[in-house]
Amino acid sequence: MNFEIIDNCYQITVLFICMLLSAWFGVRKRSRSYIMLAFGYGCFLMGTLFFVLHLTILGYVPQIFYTCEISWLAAYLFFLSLLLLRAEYRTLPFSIGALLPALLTAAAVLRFQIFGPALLPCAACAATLGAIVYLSGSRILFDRKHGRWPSHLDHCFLLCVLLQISIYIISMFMSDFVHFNLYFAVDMLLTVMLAALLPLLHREVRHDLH
Amino acid sequence: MIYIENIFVCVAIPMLLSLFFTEHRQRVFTLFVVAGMAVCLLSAYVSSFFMNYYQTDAITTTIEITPVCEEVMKLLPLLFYFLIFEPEKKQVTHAAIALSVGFATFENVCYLTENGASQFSFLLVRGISAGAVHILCGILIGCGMAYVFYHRWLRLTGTIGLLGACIILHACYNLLITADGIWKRIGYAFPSVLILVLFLARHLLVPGIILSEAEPDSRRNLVYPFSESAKKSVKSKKE
Repeated sequence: MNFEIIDNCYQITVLFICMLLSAWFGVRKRSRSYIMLAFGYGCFLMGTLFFVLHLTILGYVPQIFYTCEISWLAAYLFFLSLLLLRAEYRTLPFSIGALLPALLTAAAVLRFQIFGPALLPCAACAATLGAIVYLSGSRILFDRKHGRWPSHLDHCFLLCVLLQISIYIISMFMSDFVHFNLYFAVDMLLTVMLAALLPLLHREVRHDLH
Repeated sequence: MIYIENIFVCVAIPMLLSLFFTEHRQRVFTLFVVAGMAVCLLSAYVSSFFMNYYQTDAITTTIEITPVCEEVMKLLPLLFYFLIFEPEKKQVTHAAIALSVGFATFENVCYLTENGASQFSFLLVRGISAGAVHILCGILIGCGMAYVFYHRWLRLTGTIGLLGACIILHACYNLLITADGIWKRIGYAFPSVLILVLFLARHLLVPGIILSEAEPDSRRNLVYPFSESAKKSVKSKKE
């Protein structure tokens, strides 16, 4: 069986379970953070689902408006919203140390045309992933500076961004999407990292749904 | 060929005339229904433009171009209302749903004009599927903008994210109904099922999140933010 289908089905199943759990926690704990995470999981899995269905039903991948990429980008926008919400609770000072990796991330996205090649989704992806790296990085640096143990959630967000970029870069050097290879290993790791966001968020959530 | 502009004039004028004799809330609702119809009309032009620009066939247009054009067009009047008039939270939801109702109604009217109204079962399926997918997107974007992403930068990231979510839902629906067999049936069923799930979740799990008229849950001693007791406690804190 085509390993691409297996990998995508695995991703859809894991993220669907995470989405249900996150939505459930969001409703029961009355927390916007969980709801944003559930939206993120939902968009990511819908993008993958659309890709698989397109491949299964029509036999080729979407080619005009990159609908899957729009959905994956929406997922990262929801993750960014979650980080912005956390930043509202605790304002962090400007950090040049976090800005540099954020700019590097944005440059890598634009260079390798991740979620592209159209300019608009590519630029939106660069801004979104760059902002995620900046917010997570500045929080980690701030905590380290003040002798606190940094949040695992921030590390997890950084890893997700890194893996997402890595997948696109690796895919450029791959031609075989039928058998297991590095591309699928990284994709599966990304799924695990995305799933890990839920338990890590669970540690530090606030009750804020108004 | 159908003359959708003529249909729009015929359907919209009575609604617009009714605005002179209705109260504020009904007026806003009716206005957004008409706006939804106008957006449907404009979306048809925009989708046709991109179809010609990319030289695509009908199936590719339906699956990849139409969802993007329609959802972006639907968002514009809502965004205008949200940013310029800064309405109450529940009014944003009502406006989003009214917009979707207008859009779905006009789309169905055009479909009826083109294909006739003789097949009841097929029209019933169309009503609960194509109509429902627009309502589902309206609920999602309205509730999301009003109750989750209403603050500072969250407005920007959340609104674009919700737009992406609506696009992919719409695209999945369009993709499923172009297939045959079980996929088509799933496509017809899933918008209505999701609306039902949202409705049940709203009533069974969280009476305070969306309903303004929600009361405190005495069984679990929870006070919902829109209940009278919550309002009183906020007022007393302010004093």
